[in-house]
Amino acid sequence: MERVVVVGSGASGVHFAQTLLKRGRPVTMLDVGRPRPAPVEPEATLDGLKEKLPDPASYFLGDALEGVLLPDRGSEYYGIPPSKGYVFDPPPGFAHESSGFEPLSSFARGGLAEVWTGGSYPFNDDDLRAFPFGWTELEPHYVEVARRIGITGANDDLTGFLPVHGDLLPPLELDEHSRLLVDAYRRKRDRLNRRGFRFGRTRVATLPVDRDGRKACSYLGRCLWGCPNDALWTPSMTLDACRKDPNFTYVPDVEVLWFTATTGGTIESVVVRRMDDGRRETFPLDRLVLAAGTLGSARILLDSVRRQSGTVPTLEGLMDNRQVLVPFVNLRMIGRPFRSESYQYHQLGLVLETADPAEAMFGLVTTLKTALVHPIAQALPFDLGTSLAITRAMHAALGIVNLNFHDVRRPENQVTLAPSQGDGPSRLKIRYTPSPDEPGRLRTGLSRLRRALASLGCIVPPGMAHVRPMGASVHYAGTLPMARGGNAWTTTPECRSRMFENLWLVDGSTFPALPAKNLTFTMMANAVRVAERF
Amino acid sequence: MSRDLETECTVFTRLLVRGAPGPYVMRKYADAVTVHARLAPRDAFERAALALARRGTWLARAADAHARLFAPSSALRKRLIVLLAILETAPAHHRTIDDPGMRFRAAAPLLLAAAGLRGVLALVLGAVLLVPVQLVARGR
Repeated sequence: MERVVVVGSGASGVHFAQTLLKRGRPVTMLDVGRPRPAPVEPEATLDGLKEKLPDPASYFLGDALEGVLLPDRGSEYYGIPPSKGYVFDPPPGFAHESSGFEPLSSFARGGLAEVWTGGSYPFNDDDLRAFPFGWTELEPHYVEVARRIGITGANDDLTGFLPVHGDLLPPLELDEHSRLLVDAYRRKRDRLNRRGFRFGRTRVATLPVDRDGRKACSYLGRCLWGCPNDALWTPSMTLDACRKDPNFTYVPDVEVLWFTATTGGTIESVVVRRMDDGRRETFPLDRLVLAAGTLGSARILLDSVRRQSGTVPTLEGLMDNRQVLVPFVNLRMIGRPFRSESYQYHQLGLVLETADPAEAMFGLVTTLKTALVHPIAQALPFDLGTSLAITRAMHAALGIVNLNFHDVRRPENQVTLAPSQGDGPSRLKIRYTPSPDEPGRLRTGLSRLRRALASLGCIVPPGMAHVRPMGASVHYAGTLPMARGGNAWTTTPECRSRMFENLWLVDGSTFPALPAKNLTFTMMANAVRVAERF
Repeated sequence: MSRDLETECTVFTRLLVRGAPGPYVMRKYADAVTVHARLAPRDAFERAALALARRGTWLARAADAHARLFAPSSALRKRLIVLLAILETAPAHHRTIDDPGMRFRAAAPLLLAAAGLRGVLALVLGAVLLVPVQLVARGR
């Protein structure tokens, strides 16, 4: 029986595995796989949780109050809640060096998408221009993933940017603030469209109805702290489904360090480090599938090549979406109360069209309800008592746009290895320099966004837009791009390595371009596509 | 818990939510201040600002208004933020913080303007009281 080893249980790894399992093929998955803690009081609303828990501050802020955002911890408006901290808990000795890039890595069961906000955006033909296939080829795989995980959305003004695929579920209920924004857009739609501004429902992997044993969203208001009833899909759910298949072997608590290969370029085994005792172990294999995330897969590949050839190669073309957080105040909502029992992540999105459609900017609109207010109040230019009074009056009126910018592969953005000590695990070295035209694009985007929001009755307080560092979006891609032809550091259109004949990569590594969209849905669809040709 | 810390928590809670902290908030605040070195005053100015703030809500408001602009990472500012974070998760206070605090929405612009004016007055008072202290302490 052919031995297929998949590394990593993230979004693409689990869909690759599930597709092979459905075709009756056995799969072994190697994973650090830190498990998610059980949800507390799963039926309680957010306010109920504050009333019921014996020590609510520990739950919401962490035992050491590490969830409190203090002024010397940057300008983010929200942080990773302590209940999700396990997702970023690294194995011992894990480190990286970086310049111009703040990388995040996950070793959780399910990977980084355990803390995603469910944004599931198909790429259109403009986005796929640099890919060796188009929308028509990818669409059935989007449908398959949508069927598996459940995606809500609507056929509206964003359809040109977010093509409609099959098995799209009806959208979730809008909160009052979001409804007002939609109404304002409808009134001024023609004028805004002429200015290249489009507005509509985002696509989210949250169930509006019960489906396949999962419950629909019950609007508990706990999204930010982790959906307690699994209405919001995360990869660990698909992993659980795979684990019920007798052909699936899940090996957690191991970190894959490198693989060994013949001089002819055939991988024979992977070397892992056990998390419990640090012992090394070898897993022989026939086919290796890296799904450890763009940076995780790069580290394994680079270290393997270094050990085989004695030289450290450099991968070029690392990409990520620049994101700018733009808070706004909806004047019609000032002084109103808000309902905390509502969906808390983005439900609305906006597109700022550009001359080249592949460079369009995409903003996720989140109306703030249950987000903690202390990061917002401290940003106002008054004493905290006054700032809190103003924040309370404006709480229901607050929103934030997370404006995403596209990226392209550029040779100066590189991933390589730092020299390691002896035989120990290697460290990634990452270097990123934004494109020279980025400041201009950001200025133009922000200016257009301000004008569009003003048309919707919202103001952007001056000086409060926050340009997030590269790496913060965690949409990493591009280090081993798929192409119809190319050198050893590219992959075939089927995401098969041109250097090692039995190596496939199914994470973001193989993306030759990155539109201003979360790439997770496309990674999953691509993983299904690759598995069907495997 | 020291008397200073108890007073501090009481005054700051009154400033933020116009209420009393209660044993849970008091304990969480004391734990945070005791355990976290980054909440400790780093110099004479920060100690003076904290001592001034403990004397009452208006002085706390004034000292913090000054700190917001001239010492944003000071112990006073950080302690107030930590307390606000605790209060917004605490059973007795989160509903107060989630309430817009406005009975008449039409008066919102006036009430916001009044809050802004109060903030400016606090800043003037804070500057009068603390700029000389800051100059002396940091000039040493």
